[in-house]
Amino acid sequence: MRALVDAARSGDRDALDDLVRATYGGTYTLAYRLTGNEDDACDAVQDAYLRAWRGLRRFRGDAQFTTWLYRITANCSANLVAKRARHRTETLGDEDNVVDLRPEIDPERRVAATDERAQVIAALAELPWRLRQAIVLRDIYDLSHGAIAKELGITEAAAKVRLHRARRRLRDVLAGSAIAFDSGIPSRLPVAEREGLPASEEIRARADAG
Amino acid sequence: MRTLAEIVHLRGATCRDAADAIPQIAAGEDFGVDSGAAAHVAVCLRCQAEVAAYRRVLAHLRDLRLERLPFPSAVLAGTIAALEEAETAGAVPSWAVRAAYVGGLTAAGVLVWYGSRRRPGLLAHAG
Repeated sequence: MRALVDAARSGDRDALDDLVRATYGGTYTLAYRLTGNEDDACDAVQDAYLRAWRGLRRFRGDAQFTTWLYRITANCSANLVAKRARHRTETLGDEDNVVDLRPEIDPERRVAATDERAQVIAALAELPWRLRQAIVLRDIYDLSHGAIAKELGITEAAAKVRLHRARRRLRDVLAGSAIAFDSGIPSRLPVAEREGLPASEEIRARADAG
Repeated sequence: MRTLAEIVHLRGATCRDAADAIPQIAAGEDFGVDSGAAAHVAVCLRCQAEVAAYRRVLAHLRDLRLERLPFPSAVLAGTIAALEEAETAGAVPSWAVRAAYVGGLTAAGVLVWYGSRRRPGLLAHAG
């Protein structure tokens, strides 16, 4: 991988193509987990590779190439989903309870699954996209809080708050499943979260910081 | 030595109070973990079972990092084509580079001349 990166940085066209082929699966998977659907994932990945190509000469090699590429992918995915969300809000007005008709979101499939892993995957897909981003970047791809904050365009404190809320929500979604969380002690979610409305992470972070 | 208020706080936490902290405790992170909740979890078997369950969730999530989802082959080809197109569009002919260089020098010269007209002593002082 290092040799491919060096060759691509020096302008080797074939090396760049090989680098894309070698990393595309991982990049697409990350984008799909963040955006929740194939079309958005494809758009985000294309944006990510274009940005990576433009910045390849500045890549210092002090981190793994895939980690650097994943951070760009996370940023592109977040920007794309945010843009789509703004467009949907503008189109639909103040309608609050919009049913998510994406085939990837299937609570019945999650309930029916007996396999723990399948239930976790299905529960992750049910999370609101802001919370899903935090879980994917931290608990799957092991990005630091600082890196998550940078790629999502929020403060580190806000990233921690969002991750905390995301984990609580995931636990609630999984309550009663094969993972056997005790549904008798649900986490205390604020009303805004139960309604699926975005909360102000900055305000919450300041409150938590005291 | 703890104050009475601290002791009451540590002993007063219930499973409901600790529920919010369970995912963070399972992840080994202290952000959002109240000391009373942590103390309760340390002595409550029910909550410890919850922590163990969430640790299994985290293990499944970590395993997902190695998973590669199938993607349409056409999109890989499309991305490579987009990179080729960007590379071609980004290539600037040498004559354009020279023209931009000459234009920049000319503009700089005009600015210096205009400045010397407005303040005649400017160039003398600069020398």
